[in-house]
Amino acid sequence: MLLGGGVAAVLAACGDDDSRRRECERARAELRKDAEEVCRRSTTRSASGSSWFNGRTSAAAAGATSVADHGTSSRSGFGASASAHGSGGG
Amino acid sequence: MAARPDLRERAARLGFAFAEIAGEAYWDETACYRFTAAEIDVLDDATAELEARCRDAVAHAVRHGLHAPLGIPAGAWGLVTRSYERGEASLYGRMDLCWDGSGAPKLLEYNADTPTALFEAGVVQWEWLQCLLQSGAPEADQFNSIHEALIAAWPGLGLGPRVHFACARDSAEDRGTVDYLRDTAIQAGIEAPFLHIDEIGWGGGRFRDLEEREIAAIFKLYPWDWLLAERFGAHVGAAPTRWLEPCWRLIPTSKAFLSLLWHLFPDHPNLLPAFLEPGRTGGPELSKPFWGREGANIIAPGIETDGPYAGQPRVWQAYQELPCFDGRYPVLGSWIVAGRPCGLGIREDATPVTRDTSRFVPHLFEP
Repeated sequence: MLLGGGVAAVLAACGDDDSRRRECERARAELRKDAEEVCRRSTTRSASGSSWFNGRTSAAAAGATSVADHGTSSRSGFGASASAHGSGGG
Repeated sequence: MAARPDLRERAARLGFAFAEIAGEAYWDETACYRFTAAEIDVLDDATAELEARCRDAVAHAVRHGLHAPLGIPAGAWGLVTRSYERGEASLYGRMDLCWDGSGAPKLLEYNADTPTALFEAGVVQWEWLQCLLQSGAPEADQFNSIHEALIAAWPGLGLGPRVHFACARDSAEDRGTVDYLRDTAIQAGIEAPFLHIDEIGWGGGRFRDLEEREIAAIFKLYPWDWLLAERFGAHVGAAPTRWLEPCWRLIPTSKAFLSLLWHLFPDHPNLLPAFLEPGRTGGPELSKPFWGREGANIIAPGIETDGPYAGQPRVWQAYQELPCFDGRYPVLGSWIVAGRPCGLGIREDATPVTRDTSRFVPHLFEP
């Protein structure tokens, strides 16, 4: 069984999602002043602290529609991190 | 040991463009590491065992949706799991091990996404050994079937007849690694065009190369955590492109994976205790950012390195100081190709933290 010790903590961190979502819904239903802050937290992975995924859908990404229309691909959509950090290998 | 007088010419002939980096020697043959065959067996076995446990832990992470503790954003998790559930194959990885020849080798970390130091491990040190033997040195061998393993691996990846290759601009080391992998793919009968990562295009719902051909499969020496954070990252889920390494390799790439391994396999002889909180290992600790690279932003007793990852969440691992030989601290990079151990590359530093300025030193073993 995998629920001993640290693994339980790991799994518990995952379980936070639903409770945070419920907290957000409750805060909005109660018209609490801090509702939007609560909801923002509910979609922010504080357990990971990581927010590097841009989270947009493909259709919303810049250049997605104009590209097909003109028959020429949009470019430079990758590579910005290398400009900031250098080599991608390690 | 004396370096070969024609080292530069030999490096040039091999296409080893980064034997020196920023004017400093990177390839260093003024010393070598000498193993026994039994010691190589220990490394081989430890690597195979760790690879098996890593695969177990990845399966566990997928099954239990452990994206948050691994630091993988929820929005990226669908890409990770889909890639895993499709069985997308991995080409290669490098486990960094700490070992002084006694006891069990310990896993420091697993570079499962964008490992480099491959060409020098697979080709340059092999050529060094052949020169050494031709010069009359006693019979010796090397833990090194990297080149053959790579060529043999390509057909089994199911990527089709053309695989594009990409990396960032302005890194001779990255480009050298990618060109070497292209060479192995070409030897396996695969067409292998190159483009820089910023030259990848998006049009008509497909990633495209500079000739507007669809990129059906691509090897990218470019970290997934960078790729997905960038503008075109949003297209990854929509396009049918196959990626190498596959997206599920984000799981073992996260340094938090070290803590998951320790949770699942406590007291494993090849693992160091690692936790997502400080103070739980019961001794000195080294902390590193989840998505750190090349020794950046490491904190350990008497050590703090700089870098751009200071703001990231951290994992705390029991501090295992690297062995020190003549003032040099080696990390053993144990290579895995298509899931199997196949070679060793050693990088040394004058400090206990291996960084991008560390030197590569060849090895041999007595059969």
